[in-house]
Amino acid sequence: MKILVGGMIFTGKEFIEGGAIYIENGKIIKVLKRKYLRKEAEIIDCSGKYILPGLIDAHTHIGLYEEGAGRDYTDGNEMTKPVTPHLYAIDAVSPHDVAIKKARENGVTSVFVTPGSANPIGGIGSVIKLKDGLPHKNVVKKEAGMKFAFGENPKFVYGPQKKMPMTRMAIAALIRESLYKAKYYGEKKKRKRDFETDVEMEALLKLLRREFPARAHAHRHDDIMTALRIKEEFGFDLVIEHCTSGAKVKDHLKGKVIGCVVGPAFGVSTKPESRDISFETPGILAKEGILVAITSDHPVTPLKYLNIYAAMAFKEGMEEIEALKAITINPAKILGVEKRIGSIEKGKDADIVVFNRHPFDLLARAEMVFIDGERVK
Amino acid sequence: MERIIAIKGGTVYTMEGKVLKDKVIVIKDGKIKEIINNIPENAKVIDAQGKFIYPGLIDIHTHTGLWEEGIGREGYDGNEYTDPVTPHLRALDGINFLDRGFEEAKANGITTVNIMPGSANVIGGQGVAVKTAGEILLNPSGIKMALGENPRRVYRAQNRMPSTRMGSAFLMRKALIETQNYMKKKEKDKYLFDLKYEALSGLFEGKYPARIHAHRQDDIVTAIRIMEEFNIKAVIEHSTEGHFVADFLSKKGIPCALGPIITTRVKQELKFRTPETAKVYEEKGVLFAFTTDYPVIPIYGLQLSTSIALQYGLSRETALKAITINGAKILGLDKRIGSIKEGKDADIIITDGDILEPVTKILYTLINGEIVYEYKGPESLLM
Repeated sequence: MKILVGGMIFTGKEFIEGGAIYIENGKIIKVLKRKYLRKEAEIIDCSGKYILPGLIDAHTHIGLYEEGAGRDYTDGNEMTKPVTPHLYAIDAVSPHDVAIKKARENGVTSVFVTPGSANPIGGIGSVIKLKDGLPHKNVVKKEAGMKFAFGENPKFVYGPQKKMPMTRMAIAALIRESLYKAKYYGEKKKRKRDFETDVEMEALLKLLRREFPARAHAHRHDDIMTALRIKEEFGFDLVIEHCTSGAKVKDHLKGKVIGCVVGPAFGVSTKPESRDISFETPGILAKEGILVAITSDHPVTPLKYLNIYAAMAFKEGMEEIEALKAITINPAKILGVEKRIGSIEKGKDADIVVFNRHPFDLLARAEMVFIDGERVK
Repeated sequence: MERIIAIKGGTVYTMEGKVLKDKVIVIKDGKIKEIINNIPENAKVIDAQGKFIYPGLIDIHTHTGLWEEGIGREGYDGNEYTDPVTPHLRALDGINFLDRGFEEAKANGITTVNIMPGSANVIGGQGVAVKTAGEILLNPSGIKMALGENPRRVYRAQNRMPSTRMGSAFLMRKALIETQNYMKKKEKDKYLFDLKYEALSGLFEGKYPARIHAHRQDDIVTAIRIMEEFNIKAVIEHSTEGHFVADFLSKKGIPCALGPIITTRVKQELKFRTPETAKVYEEKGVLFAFTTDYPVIPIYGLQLSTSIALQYGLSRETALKAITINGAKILGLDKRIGSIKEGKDADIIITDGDILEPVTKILYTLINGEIVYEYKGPESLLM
């Protein structure tokens, strides 16, 4: 048994000062608001430190674009066909990506890894822990969302090839057409005997059955609205990814989406659809009661600085607690894994990071990191 | 909360056959409640003494927000020239509703626009009629189709069909025949579903018309001939050479969008463009509405089109209809918009003079009773 004692604990909901966290068999078995030491335990003194649930990024491509590797080592976008719901990002995550270790040592313990945004329907993403070894062994949830993409990326991947989609109209039409096919496929499957399994349709059927949400890459307000319209037509669950102009349509998002995964904002807008890039957006959406997660979109911006992106959102008006939630419990909720990770509570996985200063302090360092109760730094 | 607005005084062109003077238009809950002599209590008054009042203008053929202004390729979403038959595409999915075009439309008195895919494809997709302040009026408003040079040029460059007018007509017919087959098969097989044919089925069911881009007289007649073969309602878009076949259009009762009449004759199929077409339509009894084809020409071109057509013999009355009630009729929305009448949407504009004069300014634009534009002096864009 390990006991983390003292310091400021952010539970995922609030701060507790001078408490204790009991860890056994990889789980958090008890969280006390006061110190209580047991002799047989390994006592870890955290006085003066900040203890957080292991950080989570709900939108990354870690391992798909290995750091420092060349073009031959990019596996994020299957740009041969605009509708590929049957692809799994996890099948391409390289365990050799050094970004995994770098992120872990800065307190990020779990991520969603997803196909890129070249295809209107890109494939299925998974939640993995950033432990060493094969990604398949570190899976928290294999099927955590179906990647969709609206806007400029699919247009410019296929348009110049004179292939559909060349326009936003066609992106929507391809998604809609695929979902209708899946709907009729599902009905046929229920009733017909001479039935042939279709791997693409099976993947989309899971979305329509609400086993996981659509994770819709949508920067611009009109792309967000198109995603919402299609969601209404078919009744699946929806998460908006990037959500760069989300503040302009915040009233429409409220109550309609599971959440918004906002970012990456640490950069310059390089395309018209990301003109509204700003660290103010997470705070504006959170004020509306929308579940917000802050993302690095690794490798677009480095995953290891996730706490700094939250700090920037805090600086630009997001409430402190909300900004902390946006890199812990909120992404866990968006990913449907909040029963296992994202907070420091009894029964949860012992994924914990201990910072030497407030995590929004630029000088903060992750001094200790635990995944499943094992100290990994 | 009840909100009553009263527009007091002025000359009111109702487009309902009468011109009213010094009356009070009462607006409640976004609708025109009544036209009376006195200002009701608690009303917010807009003083239009000495001004001119018209129903909000309508442009039935635009690509507003679909080809955005000042963005470039990233904002071009109107032509999917990857497949010449794409009836399942919806203009609505490509519209940037915060595009500057909507602001300019409101500032120029245009309260309703029909937005359609472009003319690269023989069957381009579904149009949508919207208020320029945002409300969706009709979706789909029709299936955009195209004959003539555009589809031919686009696909010839790719060595694909259609590379001739014959090819375009063939593809149009083929898609419609396949839809008939599909509709028959669907009666027996309830699991059958094809988004393209579903979209075209609506034409056979009379839910919306085919809106066919046709400049040259032979293209106009081909469009009508094909639609007659399938008993589908047709609207001719642009109708540049319509004056050559005005008798035919009139006899068949085919409505036309006319314009943009303020461009040069950059293509062969525009060779016989003349501002006189409107006058001929009037004489022959063809129902028509002016269009800017925005952003092909700026949206204020709608007002200018009337002025130019007047110089070429069009009557003032028909010119006014061609930017108001006629568009509403062609869209099938004349129960809601296009004239100032009790019960209709309060889409109203107030001007400082005759709208048919190019120097006339729009002072107020109201959509659903809300002031969405108010003139505050000339806007300078000089930086």
